[in-house]
Amino acid sequence: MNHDLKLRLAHAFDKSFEQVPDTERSVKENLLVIRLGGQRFGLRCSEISAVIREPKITALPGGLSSLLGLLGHQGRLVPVLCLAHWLELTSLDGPKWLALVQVPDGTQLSLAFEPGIEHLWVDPQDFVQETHAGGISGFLNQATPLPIISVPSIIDRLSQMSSDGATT
Amino acid sequence: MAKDLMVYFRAEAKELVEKISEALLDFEKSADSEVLTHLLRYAHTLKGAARVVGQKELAASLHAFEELLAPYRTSELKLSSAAMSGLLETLNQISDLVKQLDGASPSEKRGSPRISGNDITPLNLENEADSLRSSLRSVFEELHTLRRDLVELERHKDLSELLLSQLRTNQSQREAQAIAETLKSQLQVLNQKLTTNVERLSRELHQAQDEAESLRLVRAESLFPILRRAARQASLQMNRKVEMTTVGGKVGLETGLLHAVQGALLQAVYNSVAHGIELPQERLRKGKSSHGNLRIEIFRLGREVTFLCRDDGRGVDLSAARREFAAKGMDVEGWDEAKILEGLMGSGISTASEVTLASGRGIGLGLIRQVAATFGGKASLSTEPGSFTEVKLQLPWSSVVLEFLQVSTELHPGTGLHRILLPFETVQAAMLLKNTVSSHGPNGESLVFQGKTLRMVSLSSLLGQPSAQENAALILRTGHESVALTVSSIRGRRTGALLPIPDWTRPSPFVAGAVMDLDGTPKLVLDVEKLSDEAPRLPRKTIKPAWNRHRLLVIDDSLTTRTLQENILGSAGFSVHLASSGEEGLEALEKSTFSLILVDVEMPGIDGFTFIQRLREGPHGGLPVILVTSRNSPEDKLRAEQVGVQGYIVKSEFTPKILLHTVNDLLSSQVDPL
Repeated sequence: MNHDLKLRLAHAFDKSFEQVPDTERSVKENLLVIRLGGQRFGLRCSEISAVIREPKITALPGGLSSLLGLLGHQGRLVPVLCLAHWLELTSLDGPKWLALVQVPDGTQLSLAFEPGIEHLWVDPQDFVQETHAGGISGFLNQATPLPIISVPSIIDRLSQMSSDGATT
Repeated sequence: MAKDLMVYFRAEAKELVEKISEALLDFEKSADSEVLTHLLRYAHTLKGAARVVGQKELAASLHAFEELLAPYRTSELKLSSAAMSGLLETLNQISDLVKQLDGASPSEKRGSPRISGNDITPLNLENEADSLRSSLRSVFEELHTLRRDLVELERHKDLSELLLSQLRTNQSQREAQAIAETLKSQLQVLNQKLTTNVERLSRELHQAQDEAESLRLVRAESLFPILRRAARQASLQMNRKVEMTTVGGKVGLETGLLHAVQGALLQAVYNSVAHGIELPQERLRKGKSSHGNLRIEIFRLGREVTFLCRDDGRGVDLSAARREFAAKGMDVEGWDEAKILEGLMGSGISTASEVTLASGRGIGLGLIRQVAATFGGKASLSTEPGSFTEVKLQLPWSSVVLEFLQVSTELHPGTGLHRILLPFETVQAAMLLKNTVSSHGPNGESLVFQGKTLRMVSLSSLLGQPSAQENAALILRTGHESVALTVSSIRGRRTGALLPIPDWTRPSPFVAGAVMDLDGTPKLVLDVEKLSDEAPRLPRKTIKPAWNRHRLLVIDDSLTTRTLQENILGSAGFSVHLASSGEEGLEALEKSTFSLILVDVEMPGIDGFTFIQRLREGPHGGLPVILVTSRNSPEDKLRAEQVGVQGYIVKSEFTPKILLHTVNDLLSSQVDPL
């Protein structure tokens, strides 16, 4: 093997360890796929701060019908909202997993879903944006379109309910 | 000595030293024999408790203190200044010894009190931190024991594997049976040990959690001594006579808030003494007592903590205030009384005719309003000329520490019992429903308590759940009236930080907030104040009482001794009811049934001997009684025999072994537990 060929092979070998260019990675987005009433939904990872598996929830007498109760998390009281009920789906019984989200006023909220998650790394071009109505911000273009839950719209709606005294 | 007992003892000792100090000063002034009786009883109670926890030097000092006072019991002598000096010196020694329990050096905390805006000295973080460290040490010790038990469990596992192999090979049924028997008995022992250790660990962790909370939050009543000193100092400067009354203050608040409130209340106190309360001669001319009354009240209501400072002085001069506003160029035409008072809160205007070191510049009320604004609350002023002035500061809390009574109820059918907390300050009494008189009327069930008919409300129904089986009733103070709340069971006391629940969740109006449990699970807190007007009249279900073991009645005025006996007897599986006086003991006997009574001799009200005499005359006259007392003279023992005491334990010789041995001995003659 001549010297040039050796150099080319060594260079090609070294190149193969190079990282994928950042520009390509940064445009992609992490999605958490959860299940509600047996259907798949997407949650943007950037909008949640933790996933908690089967925590103890304290039932809250009275309260919103979508509210499962209260969770104690790191010394703070966190209301637990049943996402299926919020989206008017039939909720399945059994243990719940929670996605913890930060509310702009500094408090926290947790969204309950059925056990199990999947992870997707998706190209934003594959999103079909729609309105934020009903807690869904749009869909991910797939063989079966994946509805994306809009956390900001849930928080907005709760804050509106808090000020106008409505109940859900 | 158990660490938690020392925590109780330290608290009790501090309280008693304070009471002794007050009573001694009182006795010097009045030479009243009743004051002397109280004084001697406080000293005696502390001496007994000191002996129980092995503080011999403290007990000896208290004995010397009692000896110094002894001559005054039988004569109407007034204390000479030399005698008073001797008593004060001994009291200082006692006080130093009590302070040393906290780890302070004898002279470290003595000296004249300093009054400043940052003087919340009772915070005592070092002591709380020490206490927390000590609790954590106990937790680690318990964990070590649990680890040992796990090793033992491993051995049992080996034994069970051996047993399985024996059974598989079917070698000898007799051998297998022998191994199985051994395994069964060893597992029983281990199970018992593990249960006890886990319970102990849980207790230690609860205590550590409470202590951690107390590092962050301080009881509002810690402000009272500072305000008292400020009132005394101001009244001396202004030649006023002032009597200060303090009410409430059991709520724990964040230190930042308390520091700010302290400054505002100090100002309110100075204002009251300097400008509110009149000179003694003036008060007498007006037909008032020469002593002005200054009342400080701190209480929690719903989501606010209220601080009140009220004096019975001359009130605010509204005309003078109006003139001052006008002089400042303000258009006061049409201002009513409320508007003037509102203006005074933040205007920098003073109606005082003179400026003193402490007040009169009109800054004080502004400071109070500023504190209210900083913490998102409100400040208000009310008055009646010639009668009173009241400054009210209402602040919302983000977290307050309270003492709670933990009860349980069924929130959802089939989900077991849920624990609910009630602010302890609202609980007047607790009782088993089987021991109460109840009736059914058009408005639902009622319960008779101290001759009054109270509305009976079911906790589970109150929270919108189907009525559960409830065996106990709590008499709750709800503002306007008392209410009987029925619950499934009473689980005991605990301290915790009450956290607010976000408004948008719209919980039941009867939920005040939640407290985090040890494992981080929220426990709901009932808003007792709401019960008075809004509670529906709900029927309760049939009662099935569930006591199945010996109940013992412990009567002692010392918190330390009561707690010690409760710990020892409770750990041995007895159900223990506590009473702090003979009268309370007799009342307990009317409502409940006991297998045995442990009673102290020297207590407020009737003493132990009189209690036993009355007991013997009543329907429970046959109950065995053990005296637990500091008295050790042959005369006392003879008297005990005469009134029919079956056991006699001297506090200086008190050990858990002696107590349990004496109790078990006496109970062994009784075949069936109650």
